[in-house]
Amino acid sequence: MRRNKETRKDFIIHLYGDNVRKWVANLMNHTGAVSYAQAIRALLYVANRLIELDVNPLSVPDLIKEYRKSISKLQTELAKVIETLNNIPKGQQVININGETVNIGTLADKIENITNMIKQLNETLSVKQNISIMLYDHERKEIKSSISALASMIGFILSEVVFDVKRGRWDKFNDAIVRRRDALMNNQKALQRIIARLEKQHKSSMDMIITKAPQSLQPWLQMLDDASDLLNMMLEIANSPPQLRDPEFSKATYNKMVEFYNKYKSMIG
Amino acid sequence: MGRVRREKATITLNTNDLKLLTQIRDELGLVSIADTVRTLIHLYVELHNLGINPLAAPELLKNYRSITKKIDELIKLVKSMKETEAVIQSAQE
Repeated sequence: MRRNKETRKDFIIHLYGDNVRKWVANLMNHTGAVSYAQAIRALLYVANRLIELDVNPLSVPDLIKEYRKSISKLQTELAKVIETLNNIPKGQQVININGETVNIGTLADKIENITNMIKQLNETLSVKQNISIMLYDHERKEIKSSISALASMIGFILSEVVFDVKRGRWDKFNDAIVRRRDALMNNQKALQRIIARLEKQHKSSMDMIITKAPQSLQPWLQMLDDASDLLNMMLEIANSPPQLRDPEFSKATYNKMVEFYNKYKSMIG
Repeated sequence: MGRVRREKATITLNTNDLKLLTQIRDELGLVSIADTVRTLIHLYVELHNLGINPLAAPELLKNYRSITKKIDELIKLVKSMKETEAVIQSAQE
């Protein structure tokens, strides 16, 4: 490993060994990463999560094997219980367990519950694409700083152009966006990287990902989607020649910017 | 005869990654950062061979933990059922 002298921030690791590139490339495919570094970052995230759960990452394969064994043992036991239940005379509604009267129906429900849980667990095990949707720490930071920068930029634009816009004049508004094209493009590039990673990994569109994501993640994904949509509109103005700009589109973009600003102004750092 | 060239992968990481890697290295008791990366790749390969998506591993372990308690309860129940079955059989005889 050596420290890169140019930036003093990057660290370069050389890994030697058979198949090392193959496995890192496989990891990239699995995680939807676009570089070796992103793929390794995904592993770091997983290892960190496991440590937080008080699990040694290296013991995970053994733990999984052990759990699988206990589940298969349980399945055998369940088969025995079902056999026992079948042997109970049909007229009998209750049985006595350790001096306690248990309704056979209740017992059958409990067994059905456990059977369903085992079924679910087996599905989780066997369905490879059943990956929980997540955002890495660096992606959350990126979203937060992009939203904050965008909201603050919009705040300036709105205050600059309010007089003209109220009089239906859109040139100053369009120019204010054109002047900030580079910043908008950088912002969009950073957010698109995250969106592309998510869409590639989960093989679905952003809308679907938001619907499927856990509740705690939805606000983050919504922010990402809102910002990306708005940036697309602003960049369309910034990249089109003045004679082709449509005042109606400028108006729609302006309204969307006001909406975005009101929603996210509290995030301006 | 020339030396056989070994396969090489070059990975560029930032300071935050290095910080995290250092923590993981210490947690796992490893000696170098490169070793830590290699160990994590090895872990990925092992999980992959077990048919598990490494990214789903933390979630999976959480599921396993929640089901373990219920499994214990059920095993107790099964044992007591077997005893009851023996009682029923002896009463029928």
